[in-house]
Amino acid sequence: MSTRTRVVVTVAALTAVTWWAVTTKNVVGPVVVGLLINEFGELSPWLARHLVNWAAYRWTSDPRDAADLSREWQGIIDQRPGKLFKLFTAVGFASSAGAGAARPALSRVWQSRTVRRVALGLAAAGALAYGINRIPTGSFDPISVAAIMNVLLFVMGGTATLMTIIGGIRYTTSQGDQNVITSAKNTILYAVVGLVVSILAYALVNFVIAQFAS
Amino acid sequence: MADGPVRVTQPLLDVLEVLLSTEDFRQHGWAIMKATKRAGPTVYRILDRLREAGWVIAEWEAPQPGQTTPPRRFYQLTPSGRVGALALIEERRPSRQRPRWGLGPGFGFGGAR
Repeated sequence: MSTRTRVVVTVAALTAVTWWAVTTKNVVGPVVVGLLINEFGELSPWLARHLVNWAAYRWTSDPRDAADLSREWQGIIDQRPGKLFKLFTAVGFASSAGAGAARPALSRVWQSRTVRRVALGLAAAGALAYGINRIPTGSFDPISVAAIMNVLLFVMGGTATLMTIIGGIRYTTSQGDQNVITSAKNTILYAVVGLVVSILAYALVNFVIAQFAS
Repeated sequence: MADGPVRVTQPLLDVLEVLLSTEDFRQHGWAIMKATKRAGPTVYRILDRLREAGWVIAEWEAPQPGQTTPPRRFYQLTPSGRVGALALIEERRPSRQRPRWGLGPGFGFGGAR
């Protein structure tokens, strides 16, 4: 059995035992939870050392540099007070190294115009379907301005939300690159502006329709 | 050797300030993290860029007899790195009150010591 399989099996078994211990109503549950918490506390420094070692070898492609980084970060982990603090620090290094390693591949995928179009198309279609679904049965009239506005609002809302999320992801993975930061901020700004404009338009149309109706 | 770090960011300026504020322009990673109050990955990405630009070199401290703590790797500004870092800080953070970094007459802020 490979190391990865063993880790997956162990984590799955621990999750199952924890779930059972938390949900069980007899006296054994709290005892097992206490033991698990204690065991996790003992395990976390070991886990932290392995995590920073994993992170170092994804941080750089130079094995000598990676070995140096691993040694250095393990020293930093040792200086961190508390077992969980060590683990949090290691998780920080591991997530950054993992994101850095995955970034070129994700960037290549996102730079594909087809992928962008498909993603935006799916988001718009999803928002459209959701918007249509929200209209009460029997009240949908294809020529009703209010019904069309209702659908459009959901389309705009869905797209704006998606663009805000994309902007947020780009901002957090910018690693200080001012160009990426500016671009991500603009994405979020325009998404919010679009959302505000669509809401105002919706309110305006509803107001006009109400005036005509009365 | 490159001209310097291509992207100048606030964390990069923070790290340079920390290195410039030390007596021998060298500091270890953990101390830089603490001084800048920046996360480890942020600091190490910047140190990577500074090393690639030739502004910083990294070296392990010599083990001391009876030392119980793990050895630390120090990051030191190179001579060209010092000049570049000072110029960059003067340009980007001119209004800040800063210590007088000793590079002899003609360098540093606030005139002679």
